Amino acid sequence: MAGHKIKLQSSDGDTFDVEVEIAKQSATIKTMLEDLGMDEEEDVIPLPNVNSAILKKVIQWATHHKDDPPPPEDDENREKNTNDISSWDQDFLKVDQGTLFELILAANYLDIKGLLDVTCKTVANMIKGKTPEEIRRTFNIKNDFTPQEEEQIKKENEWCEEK
Amino acid sequence: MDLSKLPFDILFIICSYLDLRSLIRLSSTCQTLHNQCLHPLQFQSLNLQPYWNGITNFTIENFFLRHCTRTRYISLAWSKSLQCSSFNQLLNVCSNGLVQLNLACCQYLNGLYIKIIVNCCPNIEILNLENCISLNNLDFIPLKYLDRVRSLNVYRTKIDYRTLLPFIDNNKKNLEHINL
Repeated sequence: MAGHKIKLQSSDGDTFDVEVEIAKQSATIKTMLEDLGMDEEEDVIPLPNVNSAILKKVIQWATHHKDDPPPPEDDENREKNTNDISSWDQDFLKVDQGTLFELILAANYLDIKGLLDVTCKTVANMIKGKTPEEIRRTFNIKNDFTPQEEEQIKKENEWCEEK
Repeated sequence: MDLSKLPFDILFIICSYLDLRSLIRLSSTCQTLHNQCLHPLQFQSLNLQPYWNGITNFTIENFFLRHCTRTRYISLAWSKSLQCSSFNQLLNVCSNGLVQLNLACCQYLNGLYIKIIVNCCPNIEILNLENCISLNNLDFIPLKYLDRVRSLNVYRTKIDYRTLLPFIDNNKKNLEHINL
């Protein structure tokens, strides 16, 4: 089976030849191949939610991580670690915010848990330790609270701020 | 595409990687994030010990009562002085779901609080009352009505064998650990 390839087609019509074992890191594609009995040689798998720039990045990530052990199941403990992103992943995710969010959406749609986790962690790290105003500036969020609402929320949230 | 327009399930994963303070700060940036980030499932496991100084009756009533409906673990360790009524309302909201409660060093606890715990949260498995020095030996009597406890910490309290033995008897099925 090694070296066996399938074709993935992006929303804008580009096709990519990808080794089956690499493509199967996507649970969505794995299901299509196994449950729907798609013919690996002949058929093209259309991915209408992923454009070619993002699909290229996803394939690059999946190729680098093809020998990873399956990611562990989540537990419900808060304060999950976000400092365990490998340096390769950190470099890979040095992209603009739009690309980062599109990668998250693609990882979610393709159901690639490892990529979804690492991209969400990256966003979490961009939020951690910042004040609300700094978070707004980082992500270009518009403050749409009325002054009264903002005052109320500030009061309700005061408990978590150091005095 | 921006952060506040991400689908709820993705925002939920991002939020689950945040410490409480960062989560609360994110939620106070705009309406959408305020509505989405503070889902009760983000508060399943709630360690408030680092925020002990801010945990007041006002905070309980104006913040936590709304968000603790799915809480399974809560630590109020070191909190200063919560009134019975706030404490009661909070545990009522957590109710049957709560399995782990940490009240270490809560010097304001008296017998009434123990009754509230037993009445509101019958499914408690891990209970920490370490250093609750205002509790008298008789205040521990209602603990015997709990019957699912795996671990009880009563280190540096006035519990005695007369109040401890009925508790052990009723919890012997699951009990693994008592810290005296």
